[in-house]
Amino acid sequence: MVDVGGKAITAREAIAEARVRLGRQAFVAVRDATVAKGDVLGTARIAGILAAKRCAELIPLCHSLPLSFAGVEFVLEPETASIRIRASCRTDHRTGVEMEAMTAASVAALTLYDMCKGVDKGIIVESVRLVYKSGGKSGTWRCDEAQDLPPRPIGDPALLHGDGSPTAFTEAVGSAPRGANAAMEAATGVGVNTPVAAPGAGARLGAGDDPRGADPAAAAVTPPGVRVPLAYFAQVAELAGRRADVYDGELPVRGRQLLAWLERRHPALAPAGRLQLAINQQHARADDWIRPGDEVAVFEPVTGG
Amino acid sequence: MRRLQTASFDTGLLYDDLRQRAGEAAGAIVTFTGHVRDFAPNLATRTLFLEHYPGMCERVLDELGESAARRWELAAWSIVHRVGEMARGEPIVFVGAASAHRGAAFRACEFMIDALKTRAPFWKRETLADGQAFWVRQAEADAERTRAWLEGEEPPSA
Repeated sequence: MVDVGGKAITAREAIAEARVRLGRQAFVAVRDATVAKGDVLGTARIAGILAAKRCAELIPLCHSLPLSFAGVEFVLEPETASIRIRASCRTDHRTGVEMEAMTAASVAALTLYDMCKGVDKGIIVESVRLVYKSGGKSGTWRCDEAQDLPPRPIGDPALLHGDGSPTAFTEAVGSAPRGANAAMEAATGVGVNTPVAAPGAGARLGAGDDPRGADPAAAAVTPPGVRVPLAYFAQVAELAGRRADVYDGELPVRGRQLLAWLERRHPALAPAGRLQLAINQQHARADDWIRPGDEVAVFEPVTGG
Repeated sequence: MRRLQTASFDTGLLYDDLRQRAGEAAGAIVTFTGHVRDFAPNLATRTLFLEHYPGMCERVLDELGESAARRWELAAWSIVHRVGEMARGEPIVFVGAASAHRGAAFRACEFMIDALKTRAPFWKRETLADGQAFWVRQAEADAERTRAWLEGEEPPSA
């Protein structure tokens, strides 16, 4: 094992998540607490905590360390008949607690399987992964899906709920537009302002104002070389032969002018008048302005549902 | 509640979840489920692929659900929409509204699915049993229905 003797003692935290796909029957049994074997979530929680404490005995090159905190939480997901497990661990030590968190999540998942296998032997432990860690020389790390979220650490249940009732952690609210932006950045090398809470150059959005219709002549001069990345979807991407492109014409520009530019650039997209635009993830009108820093997508009328 | 996912879903579990979130005050629950159907009577579908615009999809569906909840005073709402590849017969979308009154629940549910079909950035690509593949075009009737809703008119039947 690695000799961590010289390393600094710092506060370290790690969060791991596991997902267990139960299927309808077992999911309903856990939800309605009708599993004959016993208290499913309570047993799995205890199993996870005990496993965190024994991690160094199980994983060969892991160091023994004193945990200052270990906690396990569950969220029932009816849309996939699954349970998501979140295990958090903390210590003040020379090395991190990622394996303690991963082991806790794994064993909690295995315990869910054990408690429910009488209902359905086909339950699957679908995934176990690290979501977050902090402390030590490498600092803070978050998995892709957690990039925009500060992790919500699980508090000590004894302090939060006097009656010992389980807490449910907050679901992620929305998701970063990874698809469109990742495609744009990969294809063009141009960084995109990822709109999260407020789209585009947020300072423009005043209450009651429609900035898109305002005369941009009063706006700052566009520096030369500024371009707007474009994302293409569905048939537009197929006809243009690409998912990501760059508008390198005059800025600011109206939607209808961008579509005309598009038609010249990709004749297969003609007539461009039937195409639609989204600017910063909102449906845009043909007369709306596109400015540097905007996220622009081009697509045909939608067909969901 | 809004979810986008590739995995299929069980309508019963989603109904139970909606009812549980709505609580005891909401006596009326109306849901809609859309399934992958054959493109036309003599053109059997093998699979359907749903492309989507990540980020904008979540935003649009949240706005739809929240505006329906405000307009019809819903106790709870659900929109669950699948993306990616799915087979004939499988569910694509689940929409549900819970209210104290059936009129509100019916109209809110209908609004949400109608508006989703013209506002939410999804695109369907059909692959037929005979191997033909193409992108589906938006139905004119759908655009007309949404316009009518937004202007407070009685929409034409779908």
